[in-house]
Amino acid sequence: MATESYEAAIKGLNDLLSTKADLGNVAAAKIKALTAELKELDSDNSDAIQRIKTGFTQFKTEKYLKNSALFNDLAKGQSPKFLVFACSDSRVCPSHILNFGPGEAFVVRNIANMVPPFDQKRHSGVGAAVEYAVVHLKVENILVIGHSCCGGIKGLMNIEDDAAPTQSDFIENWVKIGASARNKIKEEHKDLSYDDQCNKCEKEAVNVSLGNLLSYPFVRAAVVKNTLAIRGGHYNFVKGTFDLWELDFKTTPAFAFS
Amino acid sequence: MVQELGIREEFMDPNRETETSYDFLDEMRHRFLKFKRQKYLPEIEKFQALAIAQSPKVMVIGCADSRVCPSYVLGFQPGEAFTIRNVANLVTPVQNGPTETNSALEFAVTTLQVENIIVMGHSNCGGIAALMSHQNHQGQHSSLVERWVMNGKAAKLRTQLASSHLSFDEQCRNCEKESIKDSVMNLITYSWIRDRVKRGEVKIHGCYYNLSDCSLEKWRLSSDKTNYGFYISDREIWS
Repeated sequence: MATESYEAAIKGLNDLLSTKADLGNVAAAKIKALTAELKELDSDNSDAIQRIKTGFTQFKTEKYLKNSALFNDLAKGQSPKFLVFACSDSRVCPSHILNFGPGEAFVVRNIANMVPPFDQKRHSGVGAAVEYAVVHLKVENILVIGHSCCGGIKGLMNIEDDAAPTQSDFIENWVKIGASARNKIKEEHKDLSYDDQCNKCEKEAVNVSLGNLLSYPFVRAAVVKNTLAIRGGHYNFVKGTFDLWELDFKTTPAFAFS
Repeated sequence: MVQELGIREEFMDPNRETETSYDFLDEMRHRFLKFKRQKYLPEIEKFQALAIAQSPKVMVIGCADSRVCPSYVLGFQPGEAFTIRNVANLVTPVQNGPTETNSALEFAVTTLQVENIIVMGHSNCGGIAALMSHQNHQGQHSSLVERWVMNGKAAKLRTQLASSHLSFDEQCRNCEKESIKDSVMNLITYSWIRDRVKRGEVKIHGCYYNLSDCSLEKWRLSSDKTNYGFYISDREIWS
């Protein structure tokens, strides 16, 4: 039955084009677009699957097969020097913006690139990643990277003080990790526009995460021993810039009172 | 305690104590400028459009392992894939409460309205190896890694039941694949995902990247309209 109505539609089109031949190009363009659209609807041939098939094939031919020594080594194990926290935002993959190649960076990606404080009961996902990277892989650097136009930070800035949780149970619960950053920005930068406040909050939230990293005993131990450095970064894709800063942490010799 | 060093020139000061900071800064600057030169500036219009809004069609849940970045292995460009990466690419079910992973899921599905969710696991996963070698199940988890990977307990039990005769490595390979299935099934414990899958608005895919032979096995979780169940379909291996 579908074929009948299709045949009828095609006949109608042909009849029209036989009298108005100059519409031929227009018709061709629209038919091409329609064909592409219908391809997308076909579940086996979905756009996304085609996309990853192309992507994977390109990876295999242009990277994997051309660097077999590297990939053979990597198959045996990984020894990245970096642990990177980046936002899940599709625009800020660290492999792109900081050119990390295979084997270079152990990467955690979550909303607003947050590191919660050390907790043996909650947030075990991030805790596991920090522990694995620092204790097992013995990374030398931790980098927490925030970014411009972060939806998670906007969400954090929009939370009303002492309001009851809204419909988004999980998101709000998560971004609240950066609450002290929001409070600081709202207090110290009342005069700034909402966008400017968000921009400052993006960076301040990174600082909160850097501080939280130090609440992990194994992180603190490695930082004190100087085998691990922790740093913050902010990628601004509107301006095409990247800021980088350090967390300065040291203990002075003790003064003895007696 | 937090010292903000905004000016690059400060690091160029030869009297500065920490030389490692200067080398590190140099390396990072070099990395970023390479991206800027090779990708950002040549495609500036695309990046400016992306700066206004992101509208990725895909969400990927991948492992934090340095060898399996989904952008790198599956070829995603900036703007294409909203990406979650955690140890062993685990998705916990809704009844376990809020986690970093399900908050990102909520954002991607309800706000960004992605059309595809891909759970990507891989061979030689340290997290799965930790799960398989973890002995103490009494609840006294000594490490954060063990506490987290125990979310894959069901996959481990099935693997041991089916393949205890195999070597530890082979069992790990099986567990890695079983765990992807569990994570995919956990996705549909979230009503806002399950409803969208049933309506055909969201497609869920599992995929397993074997980094020893560079092969990718992928399959899809399809919704059965007759009995409201789900089944695996469209299985393919690319190598």
